[in-house]
Parts: sequence; structure tokens; C-alpha cells
Amino acid sequence: MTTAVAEDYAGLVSRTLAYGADAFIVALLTGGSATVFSMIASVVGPWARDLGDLVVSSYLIFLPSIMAVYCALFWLLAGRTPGMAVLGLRVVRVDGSRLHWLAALLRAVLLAYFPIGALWLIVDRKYQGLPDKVARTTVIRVEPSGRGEVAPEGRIAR
Amino acid sequence: MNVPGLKAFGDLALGAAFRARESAAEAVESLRAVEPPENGLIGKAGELRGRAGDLRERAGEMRGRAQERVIELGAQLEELRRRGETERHRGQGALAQAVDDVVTAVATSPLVNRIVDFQVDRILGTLAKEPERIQGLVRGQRDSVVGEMVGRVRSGAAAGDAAVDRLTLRMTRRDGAADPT
Repeated sequence: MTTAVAEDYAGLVSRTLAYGADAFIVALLTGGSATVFSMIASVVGPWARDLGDLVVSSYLIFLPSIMAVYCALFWLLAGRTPGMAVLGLRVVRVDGSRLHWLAALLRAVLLAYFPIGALWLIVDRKYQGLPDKVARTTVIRVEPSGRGEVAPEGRIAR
Repeated sequence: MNVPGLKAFGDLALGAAFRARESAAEAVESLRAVEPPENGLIGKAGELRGRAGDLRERAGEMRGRAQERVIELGAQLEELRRRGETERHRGQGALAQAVDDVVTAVATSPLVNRIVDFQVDRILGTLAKEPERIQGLVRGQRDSVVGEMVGRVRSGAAAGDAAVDRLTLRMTRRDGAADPT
């Protein structure tokens, strides 16, 4: 049973940068897809044009859902999103093991639709935001960043 | 002492008084008869003062001339310095031009062209035979650049985390290592 040190947990800035990078990627992909779909629909016919308008108008509504699916899939498959990989972060359960699909989906949905709840990590001892508290997860560093030693996967345990 | 004696003494005194008045008058006359100031010591002093004034004027004139001369000399030195600077720049430009001409002449010479062609053919042949060398070099360079950028991002983010931690610790007195709750 090891004790987690404070340097192993990712802080607000790292996690915000990672989430921002992921949101940029998702917005870029979905925006490009919606634009291409709208252009194709405008050529096909009136009914396709109406469908394209519907898709484009609902783009902003479904964007958090797409973001949630994106995050849940990456967390489930790799334990990290591309943005988190750039920042050297990883999502693990509080005992250091990998996420289950339910925890990943729950955390992703909460983070996508109630991102301000993640700010609880500022005052939390284990740097857990509200989605982390609900899904019993935390975010750790797995790459050397100059602030502390390398925190290998599974080191965080209670 | 009898009375005539006293009378004679009075006369004597009176005579002495008159004699004294006459002596004083003579002294006054002799003083009035002294040479006028322009011919006496005062005159000499005035003359000397006049000469001193003349000398002062001449000294001022000489000082002014000396200052003018110093200014002229400074201007001449400044002109010489500018001339030297101009000549130095001209010499450097001429030297650089000469070096460029020499380099151009050497670089475009047929012999050097043949050497360069031979070396380029040799290097291209080596790369064609062993492409993994240049591929590994390019890949390593690319990885190092990307790794450096990622490292900078991570270091900056970690520094930001530390700053936020310090701020929140100051505000909430949170300490993960010391406070188990």
C-alpha cells in the first residue's frame, strides 16, 4: 500500500490545458464534418438541404455529447485523451487501476455538461473534481515534467 | 618770583604762541607747496594702475586668441578623425569586396565545380544505397523538436499547477502530505 504524493496528481492548469486541447480537436472535427455535410446536402436536393440545416443548427447542442463520447472512448481504450497525452496525464481510478466503461462514461458526461464542477479539484486533497468524486477517479502524471518524479501507472493507491 | 618776572614769562608764552602759529602757517604753506598728485606717488600709482590695465587687456586679448586657436585645433582634429573613419570604412569595403571576388572566383572555378559535383554524386550515391541513415537522422531531428516542444508545454503546465497550489494552500491551508483528512 503506497501513499500518493502531491506531485503525482495533475493540477488545474495541466488538466485545463488538456481539456482545452481535446475540446479544440472535437470542435475542429465536428465543425469540419458539419460543414462538409452541409455542402454535400446543398448539392443533393431540397430534403438533404433541410437535413443539413438541421444538422448544422443542432451542432452546438450535440457538441457536448460528442465531447463526452470522445473522452469516454479514449479513457476507456487508452486511459488518456490526445490532449492528456500531450500534457503527460492519465485518468485512473483512485486505487490506481484502469477505468471501467461506466466510470469513464459517467465522468465524461459530467465533465461535458457540468465542467464547472471540476473546479472542486482546486480545494480537494486528492485533486479530484466533482466528476472524479462521482466516478471515483483521479488524474495523475505519468511523464516527467520537471516538478517531480515519474508517477507510473498504478502507483496511486489507498 | 616778582611780578615783572611773571610778566616776562607771559610775554614769553605769548611770543611762543605766535611763533608756533607762524610755524604752523609755514608748515601749511610748505604742504600746499608740495608737487601736485599727478607728479607724486599717487600719480605713480595711477600710472602703474594704468599700465596694469593695459597689461590686463593684452592678457585678455592673448587668452581670446589662444581659445580661438584651441577651437581651430579641435576642428582640425575632428576633421582628421572623420577622414580617418571614412578611409577605414572605404578600406574595409574594398577588402570585403576583394574577398568576395576571390571567393566567387574560387567557387565558380571549373576545378571546384568538378570537386563539388564529384562529392555530391558520392553523397547521393551513399544515400541511395543506405537511405536509413538519412531517414534516421531526419526522424531523430523531428522527434527531438517535437519532444522539446512537448517538454516545454508540460513544464509550463506543471509550473502553473504549482502556482495554483501555492495560491490555494495559502487560501485554504490544504496540505495533502500533512493533513490526512
